Amino acid sequence: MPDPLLYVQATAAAAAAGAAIAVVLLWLPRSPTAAWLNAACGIAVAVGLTVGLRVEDLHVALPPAGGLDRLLLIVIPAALLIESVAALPPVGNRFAWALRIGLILLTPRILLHGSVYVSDSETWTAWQAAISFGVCWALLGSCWGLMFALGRRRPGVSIPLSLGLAIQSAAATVMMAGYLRGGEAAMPMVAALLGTATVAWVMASGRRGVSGERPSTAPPVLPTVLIAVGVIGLFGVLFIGHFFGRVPGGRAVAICLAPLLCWVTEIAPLKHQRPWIVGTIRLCLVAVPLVITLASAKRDFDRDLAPLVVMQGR
Amino acid sequence: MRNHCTSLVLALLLGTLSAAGGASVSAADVYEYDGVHSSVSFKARHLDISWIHGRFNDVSGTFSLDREDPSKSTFSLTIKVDSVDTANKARDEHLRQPDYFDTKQFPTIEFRSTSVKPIDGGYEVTGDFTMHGTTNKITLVLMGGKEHDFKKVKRVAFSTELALKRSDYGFDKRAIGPIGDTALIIIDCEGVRE
Repeated sequence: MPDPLLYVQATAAAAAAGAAIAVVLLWLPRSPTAAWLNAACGIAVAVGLTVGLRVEDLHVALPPAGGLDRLLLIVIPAALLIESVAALPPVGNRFAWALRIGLILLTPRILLHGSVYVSDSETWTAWQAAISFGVCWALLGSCWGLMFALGRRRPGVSIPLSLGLAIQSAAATVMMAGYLRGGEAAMPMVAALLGTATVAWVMASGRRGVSGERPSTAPPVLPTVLIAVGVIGLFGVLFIGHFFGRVPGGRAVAICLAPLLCWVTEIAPLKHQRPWIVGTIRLCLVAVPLVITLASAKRDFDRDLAPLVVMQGR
Repeated sequence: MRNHCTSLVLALLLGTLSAAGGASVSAADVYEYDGVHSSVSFKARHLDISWIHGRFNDVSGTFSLDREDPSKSTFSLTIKVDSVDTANKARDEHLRQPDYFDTKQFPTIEFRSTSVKPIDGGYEVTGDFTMHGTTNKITLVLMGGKEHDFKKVKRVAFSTELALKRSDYGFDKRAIGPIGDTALIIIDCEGVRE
């Protein structure tokens, strides 16, 4: 049964742990390199997520048995590792993208490993498999690529915040579809991501103010690992919610694409607004489809599962 | 003449051996699980005050019964978990999700016997029981085994009941919730052979 108090405790613990590790690791060097920033934020997210899952007492099977286990133990650590490697000075942009594309191609197959989709030819024909994998690759690739490009073009804490908002909506949608553990695992993910992103943003802003490297109106660039974990986490939660749970495909795609609405602020009238105005507009735009999909998920929950929960609770 | 005698002795010896081998093969009667006259049902406690009942509608299996040497008998059963039926469609859908049976990841529940011992009125069958991706060794007391011949179709039937703890099979302990950890499984099955 859902335990809101436990979720609050796990979220607070994940955010606090992620933020604390980020403060310590980002405080150590006087002017951290991109590689250090990525590695430090990656470690902070990983620690925050682990602490949150421990507080939730969410069982993760080792070796991984289900889709959620593989997301938490293989896919997210792989994203953290790739972004840490990609930020190293000798690693070129092309090699970094080769690693990211490799993870994009492997992620759906890893998450479906051992399931009826890949082991039972009656579940999926070759065409169904090809179309499903193609859609997943396109979705994950476009989401990751466009959020990454936006992070370079017009950075801001609104990017990880919008990803966090989308993951939290995905968590609620997955839970309302009847898959509690899938949603529960996403909550500390959001908290660790946002705790780390906030610290990274505050410290980068502070350093910029001291060194005067950039004009004061330009927001600081955040580590790419935060975008990678946000995109992979969002995709993974929706993927397992759809293929192993009962989240409808259209709803999953809508939530996955919602953060891309941040790009709307790149049109001429909004482009030259102050960073906090751009950030607020981004979050409001992303929230619109998320609120609609959440309302739709709640309607389905009230119709299908709520009577069952009420009957069980009586 | 001597060659003829040798050939005759060899032929007799081989004939005897093959007959003996054939007898051991034919002694094991192989029965297919008869889905029409069988059922695999279960019940679990609700709030520790009552029972929720359900069944699996898609089951298959084979029994190989060796009457002369029962230890050579084998039993296997495969249950398609997607066929879970508790007379409530919403609950069935919920049970198929990863919090419970996770039918997309673990589509079957299987039992494969590893040893069989005759007992009074049936067999004590030990084997590997796999559910939710976890395999544990269990022992079933199968009562029955008497063959019935009806319109040239031979039938044999067994009944058993067993209690399993869901927590022993990797189910999330919080998903156990108001439904008790222990589930009672009742198997009544008929095997059929021409």
